[in-house]
Amino acid sequence: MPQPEDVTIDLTGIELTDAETGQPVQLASIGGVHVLVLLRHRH
Amino acid sequence: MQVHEVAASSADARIGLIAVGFSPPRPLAAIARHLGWTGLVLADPDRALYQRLGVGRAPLRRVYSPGTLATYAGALARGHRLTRPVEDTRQLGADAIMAQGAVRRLWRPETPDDRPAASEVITAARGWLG
Repeated sequence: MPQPEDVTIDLTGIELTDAETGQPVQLASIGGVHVLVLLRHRH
Repeated sequence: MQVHEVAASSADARIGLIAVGFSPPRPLAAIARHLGWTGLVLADPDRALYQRLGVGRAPLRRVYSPGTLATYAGALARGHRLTRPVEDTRQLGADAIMAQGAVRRLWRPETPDDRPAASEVITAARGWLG
């Protein structure tokens, strides 16, 4: 398993798209605590 | 770690779940609906977040492992047509804890299936709750 890294990576400026609504989302503006799951390519 | 594993493991409503994929929004939304993902699903076709977090790409031998090739062979044997992928098949995923607009803990795999247990990630996320 990968080893966890303690980091501080500012997400300001990362704009993604809500897949359901198509609306832009500024990731850094989402408050609270979240688990981010970055998907890999699906075979 | 899979999206549904996180959703099942986190009984704490204070911890959100965000899935990020590099497919275009509409296909990504279709996958999310098909698989019953809960939580926010975000598209990152330019892979801006992947780059910001330094998430790498797997070597070809890791992507097309014997198991993956066997899956393809089985599909062909069942009469499925294989199509050329339109996305980067070597792009790896990652898992992270985001709190107050920044990533605080990060798991970057070296191979496609090298992911942490959902319980490990949820436990770490609880540590960031106030």
